[in-house]
Amino acid sequence: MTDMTSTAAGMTAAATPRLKSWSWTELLFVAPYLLLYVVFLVYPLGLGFIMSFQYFDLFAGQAEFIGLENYQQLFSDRIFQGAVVNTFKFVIFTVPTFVALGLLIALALNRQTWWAATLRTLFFASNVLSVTIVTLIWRAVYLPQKGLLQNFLDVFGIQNIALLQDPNWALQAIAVTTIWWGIGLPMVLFLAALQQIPGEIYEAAELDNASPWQTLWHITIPSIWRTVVLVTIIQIIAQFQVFGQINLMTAGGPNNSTRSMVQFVYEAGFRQWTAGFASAAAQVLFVIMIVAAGLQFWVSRRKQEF
Amino acid sequence: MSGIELTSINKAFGAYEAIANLSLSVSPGEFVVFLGPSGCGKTTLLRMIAGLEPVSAGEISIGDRRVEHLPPGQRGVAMVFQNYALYPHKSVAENMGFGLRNIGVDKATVAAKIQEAARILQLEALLDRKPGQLSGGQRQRVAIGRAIVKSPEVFLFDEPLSNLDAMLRARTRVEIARLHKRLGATMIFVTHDQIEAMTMAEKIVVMSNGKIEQIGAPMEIYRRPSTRFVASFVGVPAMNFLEIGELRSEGDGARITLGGHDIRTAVPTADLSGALTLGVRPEAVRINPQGSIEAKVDVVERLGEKTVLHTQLADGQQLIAEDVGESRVRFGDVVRLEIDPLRTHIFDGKGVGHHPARSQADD
Repeated sequence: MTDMTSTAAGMTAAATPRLKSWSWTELLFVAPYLLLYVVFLVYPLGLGFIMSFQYFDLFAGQAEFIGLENYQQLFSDRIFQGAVVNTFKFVIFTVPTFVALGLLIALALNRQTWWAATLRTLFFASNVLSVTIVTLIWRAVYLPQKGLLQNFLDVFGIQNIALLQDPNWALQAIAVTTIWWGIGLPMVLFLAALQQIPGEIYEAAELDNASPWQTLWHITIPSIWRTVVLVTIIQIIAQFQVFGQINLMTAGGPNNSTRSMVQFVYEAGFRQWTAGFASAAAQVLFVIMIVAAGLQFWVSRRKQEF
Repeated sequence: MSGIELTSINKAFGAYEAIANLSLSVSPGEFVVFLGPSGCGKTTLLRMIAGLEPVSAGEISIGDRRVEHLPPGQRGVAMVFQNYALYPHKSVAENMGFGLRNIGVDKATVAAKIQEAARILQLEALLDRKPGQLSGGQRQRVAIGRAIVKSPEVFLFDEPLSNLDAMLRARTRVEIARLHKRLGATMIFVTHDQIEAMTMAEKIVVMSNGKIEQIGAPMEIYRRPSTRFVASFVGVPAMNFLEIGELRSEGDGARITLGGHDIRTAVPTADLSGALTLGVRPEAVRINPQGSIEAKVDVVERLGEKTVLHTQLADGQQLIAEDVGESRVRFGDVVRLEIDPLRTHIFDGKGVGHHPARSQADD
């Protein structure tokens, strides 16, 4: 509500040709939102930035300005380097899959039948589960010897699969869990977009001899391109922050192969109580996310103009 | 250039039968209009010809080919949709070329065809624009251009003028008629607007409740409506319908009594039965001081070139008459009216129309 009020006030001001004088009542309307925004977002953000240049012991409550020392230490930290690589890998595993699979499921379920409605509900249902439940389910799936996956693989004579214990496969296994967990949102967003496309355009395409593939490529995808961009950016931002499922399934192991940046920040800040060092790592994550989302936005805008 | 043959077409939506046992033949190069109120099945019929709607039973032939089992793209038809259905992210040129590119026509030929269509429709300056940057009339022309480039055997128009304002609609009507003359292609045009039907068609197919009411040239439909439905649907202002009291034969036609007035018609009495209704178009009802009908004027509509008088007879029935543009008749006047016997119609109990003998009426 406060958000809407502030936007409306902003628009009125922009639309007025000559702004007579700035009135305090205008600020009054924006104030509640502005207050929360400053106190809970701008202030901590600034504080975190300053903290990253300090030696800041949360436990002892000591703070001391040390310049770029946190960053120097961070960039030479092997574990942090590994966490950056892992996080990027995780984003590359999950984001394209979220987009492609979400679109595929939406295309398949974009029809008015009872089974499509049932499947839509099922695919979305996992989305409402908490991370604790999701990881519990998937640890049972990946359980060596007795897990669902092993039971399934037994049929094909494949023995002794322990994905979460394997440094080469643990991250992929967590990516699969994440996709199972989160696929409902991209699916719903794509479904909403697909339903906005007027049916007449598809009929025109039929009369234009467009094959199903040409129809998908020339009609459907360009029509929902904004949603493709939206889903991609939402997922980039979400997956760079992966933490809960990793913490609960592998705790960053085996051999740091699944340690993500947020987990690194968490451990530095709340296990070792070195908040300054953790803040520096958080700043790096922040910059990476902004650059990645911005890059994606820029690329997709260019592509729309072909 | 191909004709179309529809034979015993049925279309059912579940238990509801939208079109029952309809047969129709369209000659090569003919401009046919399907005319009827919404829900009469005219658009469904057009969509079945296009292949966008399957037939429940029956045969459709375009030229020498049976097409009812072919997908839309292989029927040799092009369609102009009511809402244009342009591809919003494609430029005007891409919109027009999409169909040809899909069937593997080479780039140079596609470009030449787009140029040719753009020239005919005066779209040359707009080829790089997106549909969102065009006005309604321009979009309409792009939709027509998209049909032209395919050089189809048959053009199908699904109420394409209904989203245009009145001025543009009148202009586009003329443009489409010109286009038909120029291309000589078979065209089917669906509309609920009887003016569009009258002005553009070589043949009008009047439909109601999934059935064909009448097929004929515009003036044939206007002068000799085969049913009361056709008579009421075609013509503005609509035909007057008056309940007939008594009827007797006199000379070539029926002489009827109507609310105490005596009216002569040229309609033969031989086949008349059931509750009868007199039908007469407003332009056949004129002011005449010696006229046999007395009526009170309750609305005067001045259209410039003519004046439409809405009057009430002594028994309460409404009768619309026409007078010259400079008419001095005013609200509340009591006028005497005369009906031209050669332009009267009698509809019998089943709604079937009976008209004066042809030789007399066609003078």
